Amino acid sequence: MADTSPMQSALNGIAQPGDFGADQPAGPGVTITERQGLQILHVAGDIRDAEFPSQVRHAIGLPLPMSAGETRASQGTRVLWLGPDRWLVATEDALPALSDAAAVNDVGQGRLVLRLTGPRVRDILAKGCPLDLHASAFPTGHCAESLIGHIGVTIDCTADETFDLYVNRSYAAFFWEWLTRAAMEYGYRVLPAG
Amino acid sequence: MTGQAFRNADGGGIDRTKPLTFTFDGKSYQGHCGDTLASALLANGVRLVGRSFKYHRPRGIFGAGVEEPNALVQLRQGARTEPNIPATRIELYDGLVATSQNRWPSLKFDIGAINAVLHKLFPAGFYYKTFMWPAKLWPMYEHFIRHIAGMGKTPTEPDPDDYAHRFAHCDVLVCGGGPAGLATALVAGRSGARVVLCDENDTFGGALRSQPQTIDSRPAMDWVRDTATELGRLENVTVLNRTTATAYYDHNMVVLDERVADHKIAPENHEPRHRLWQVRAQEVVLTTGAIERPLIFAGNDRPGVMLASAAQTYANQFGVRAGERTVVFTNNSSAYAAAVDLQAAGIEIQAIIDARNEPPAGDLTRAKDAGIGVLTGHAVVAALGNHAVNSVTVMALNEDGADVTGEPHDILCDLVAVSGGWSPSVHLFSQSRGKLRYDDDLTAFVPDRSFQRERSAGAANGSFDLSECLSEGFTAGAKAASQAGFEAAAMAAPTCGTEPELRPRALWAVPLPDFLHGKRFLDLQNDVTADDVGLAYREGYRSVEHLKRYTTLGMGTDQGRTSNVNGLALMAGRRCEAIPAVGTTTFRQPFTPIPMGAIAGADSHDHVSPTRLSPLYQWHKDHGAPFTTAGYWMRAQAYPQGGETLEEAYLREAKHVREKVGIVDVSTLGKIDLQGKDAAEFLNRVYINGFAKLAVGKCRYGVMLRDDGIVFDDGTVTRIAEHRFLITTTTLHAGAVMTHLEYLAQVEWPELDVRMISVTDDWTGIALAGPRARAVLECVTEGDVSDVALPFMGFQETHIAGAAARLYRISFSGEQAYEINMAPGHALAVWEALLEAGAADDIIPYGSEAMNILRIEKGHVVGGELNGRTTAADLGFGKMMSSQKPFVGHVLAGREGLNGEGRQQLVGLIPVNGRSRIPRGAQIIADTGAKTPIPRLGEVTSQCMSPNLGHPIGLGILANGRARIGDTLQAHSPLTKQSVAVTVTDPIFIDPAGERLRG
Amino acid sequence: MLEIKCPWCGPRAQTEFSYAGDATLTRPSLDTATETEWYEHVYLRGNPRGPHDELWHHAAGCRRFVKVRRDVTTHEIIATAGPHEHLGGGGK
Ligand SMILES: [Zn+2]
Repeated sequence: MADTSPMQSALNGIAQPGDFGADQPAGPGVTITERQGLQILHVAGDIRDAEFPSQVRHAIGLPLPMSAGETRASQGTRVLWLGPDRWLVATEDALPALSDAAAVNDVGQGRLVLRLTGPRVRDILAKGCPLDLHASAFPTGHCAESLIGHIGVTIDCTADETFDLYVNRSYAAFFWEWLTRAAMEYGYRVLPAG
Repeated sequence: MTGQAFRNADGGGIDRTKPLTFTFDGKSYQGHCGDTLASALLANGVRLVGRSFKYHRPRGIFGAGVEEPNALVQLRQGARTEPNIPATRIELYDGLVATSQNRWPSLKFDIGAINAVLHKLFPAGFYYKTFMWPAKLWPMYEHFIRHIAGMGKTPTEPDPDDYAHRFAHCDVLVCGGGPAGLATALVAGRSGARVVLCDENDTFGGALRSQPQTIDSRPAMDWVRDTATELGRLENVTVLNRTTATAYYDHNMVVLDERVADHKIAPENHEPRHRLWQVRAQEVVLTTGAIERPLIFAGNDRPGVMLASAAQTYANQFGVRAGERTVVFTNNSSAYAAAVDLQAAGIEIQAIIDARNEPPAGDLTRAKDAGIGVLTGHAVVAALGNHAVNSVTVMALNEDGADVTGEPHDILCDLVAVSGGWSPSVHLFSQSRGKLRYDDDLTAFVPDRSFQRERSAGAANGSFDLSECLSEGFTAGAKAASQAGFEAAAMAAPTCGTEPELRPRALWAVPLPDFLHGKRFLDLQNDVTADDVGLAYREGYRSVEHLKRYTTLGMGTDQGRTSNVNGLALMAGRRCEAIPAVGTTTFRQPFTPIPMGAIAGADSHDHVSPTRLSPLYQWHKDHGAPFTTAGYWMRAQAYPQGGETLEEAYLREAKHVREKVGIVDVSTLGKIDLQGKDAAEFLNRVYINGFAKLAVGKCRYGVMLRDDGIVFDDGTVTRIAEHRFLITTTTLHAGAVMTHLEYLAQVEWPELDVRMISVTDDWTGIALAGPRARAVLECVTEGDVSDVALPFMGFQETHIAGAAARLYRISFSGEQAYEINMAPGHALAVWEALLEAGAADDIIPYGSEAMNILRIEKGHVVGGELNGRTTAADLGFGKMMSSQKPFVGHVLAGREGLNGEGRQQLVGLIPVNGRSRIPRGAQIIADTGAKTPIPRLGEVTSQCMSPNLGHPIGLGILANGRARIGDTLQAHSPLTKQSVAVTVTDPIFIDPAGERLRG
Repeated sequence: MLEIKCPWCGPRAQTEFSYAGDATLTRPSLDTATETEWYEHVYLRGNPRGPHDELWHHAAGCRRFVKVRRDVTTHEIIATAGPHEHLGGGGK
């Protein structure tokens, strides 16, 4: 039976579309969009287990990334390395069915996903993230779990000057406030969720 | 030129076309763009700018930069006011308002100056000695001292500005943008390495800004500008002006304080006032320059006594004459250049008093060419005057400098430019754990051995010659870049005009002749004199660390930059030891004071710590709930109706739930998803009770212990599938339990096939409780929730109000109850559906307060009882402890001290009079009239008014509690002095047989 | 602030980690160890100067436990490894 109950965003009543903060003649330093409707799975398993990696590969059509910060992507689907035995699968498609070889949790609604794009995005994240976010150290296709503004965040550089942030939902309002305050000096634009 | 009587018509880096108006102590003045507050005050002839800390002596401007000990002012007004800012570090802006500090009622007439007359009452160590006893009088002393010894005023309104933090990583961090720093950054930058170059001033150049020299036959500042321009164009170089490297920590982490908007009346366009950088560098190069030391003589604190380099800076950089007639007093060669520059700026040079018997011939020629007289082997023994210097007394030094001889001469002057040699700024080097070496030729400490990946260059390294600074910078830049993995091309040092070596004569304090009185100040900010060092020595405070604490030498906002070396050299003299044997005090972070706002950054106001919100938060708020915190979580306490007080509301709610039905948001409980073939075995080892036989679709209550046998946490475990469990934890221990389980799985039992993640955020929890709970539930689900299909401690995966849900028949309230977990996006819909469906059954929402009452009535334990000292047996879980299997904590739980006679056990408490609330946190004693110390039998851990019983109740842990049931004892609160007679009861007040929850 | 090299994630800031105790200890067996062994394990600790093996939890990263050999007098980190791997470098 499918869910028929209405869904609510973690930013309901908090994020308003529009331009905020400093006036920048060249446009806002960052544009923020909430990515809604993304299906997200947390997958844990033992790569020494013969079946696990191949089964996951079959189900999602992508091999599991094996090295720190590595991601794999296809149209609409991304697989993020979170640790030696943990991955995040984020997809705009239907959720893949995964076998018992993996420990799987649907974490789609437990995360707020924000897409940040713009020339100052690294400057803004670096206000609260201890990672080296320079393009040479954190290029497109790189991901990491770390802290931003004291909150645990999964960070995925999906394209040039574009980052997807995965934040635990209970921290959504707190993180939103941190992020928008950090972006004030560079100017930011909020687009309607999509 | 309005009123700027001491401003030259030309010269200096200021923009005379841009006048700026400012006020000091309420009086309006004009300065120019490019001025500091100090240079603008001097241009206007303002020489008295403050009163000293202890003796309230008149003080003027002593330095020109970060070393300034005297000219501390209160900057700005209202919410933006800041105390203790050196006027030498304040860039002038239009509309600047500053006031002097430490004076009352006015700067010129200061009542505190009586301290100077009574100075015998205020020797070093005065505070320790006088005010230690009697302790009762401290408040009175403190009131008096605080009033007269204030150091400016803190703002009373909230700071309106933003402050930012910034993490950065680089290959080479260069601290200091003088010639050596620019050379370093240039080579490293050209190599392609990621370079951060910071400098505390608004423009680069360091000492070159005020000491004109040549590089390749051009003015050195041209080279500075060219280099800064090239660095600015390099994409791999981050250039930070107005940014002080202020703290050096472990693993090459350096903190920079960027003053983004301090040079403006207010920040613009949402910029932060300060940005605090935490830079992690592969390699650090310290090019922090050097600071000139003063010479110590009687009255050396009077306005008009100034570092020679500072007077030179005012002349060259700002076109300001710091006086009209000056005596230059030096022990080294650098002051000769200063004297020539002062003369060129129009200041009459009365004489150069050189402590050296035979200055280098070059110095003498230079003076002679300028027509300046030099008195060698002499010293200024005193500066005279009241609010400012009007003359100095000069005498000859004897051979070893320990005495002065001959006739004293007085020389008229309004400026005494002093140079006691130069101290490399080794603060950051020392903070990095680098070892210092005392250089006899320089009479200064210089970097010796690095501890971290760091190197010093230029004046910071004891190299004062410009070409040496540049070549050291080029070398340091190349080495740092190559260490960081880049290939740096060698650069030949350009040809520079040469300056003579310093060749100082060690002269740590000019001897005070018998016929003179007067204080010889070492530390101007803390009013520590040369004689105080002698006093400290006589009283046994002979280590430099003791000297510092006894006399407060070097403890001010200037960190003793102009006083430390002289102080420890004087102590070395007293101890008849060499200076290196005495050593230095520890250089501590920060090098310069950092505003509290910059340290807080964005972590201010509501952002001091994170907050976590349930998906139902907005509903709770919209329905009038006040909130309380549980860890980071915000929890709705109750939903007051009409004019109800909070207490009325939660008492009503708690009663209503037992009579009818209610729902409560329990999203904050920790939830852990555990999977794997060995998950059951893992749980068996973790909990005191067995889990191997828990059937799929069943829940079980479990208790876990720490290794030491004390209860760690409790909660329920549900078997979702053969190899999948859901663990719940208390709200407060969720993180610690997760870490504990990960530790056991990863480190201790890697052979077990288990994986776990926290799913707290993925499942919103709503508890539905009360005699009509099932009736309400049946309205919102098509599943079978009958007692047969879903008995107590049963579990179902189902749909509630259209949302996929996990349904647990568990009860915290003791009523017929269900916990519903659903994805957070559906939580509001489910919550509202329950309220709507339950309307016929008179359903209400209830908050955390009512939930707490319901659990106290049932004797369920939470934080107060799980206090880190109670065992499972203490809390009544003794029978749960399996003897069939080992589990974490079982061995030490069995040790003698945690068992047997005298253990404090969980009990219920009821006031004997049936009315009095049991005091929160009360101690349980037998007799309030007993002789103290009264034996403590236990404590009240929870208490409330029970609306269902109609009288107050409490839970407590009580020595031999179970054996005392029926006894009458006293619950006594020493804090509120309340005592309530209580009867000891069983901790379960309602339905001990558990019939209601199984109903 | 220290920089700790997680064997899985690489060099990370200390704020991502939490200290998790002494890594030189061997946990007594759950089934067979005596009260004395447990007592010593839980309560008795050396406080050696110089290099020391510690456990850290990469809590804000991969959530793995990491063995860290750190000089407790200078904060120098000599080596890091997984909890069951051998640490390089001197000391214990
Ligand atoms: Zn890691």
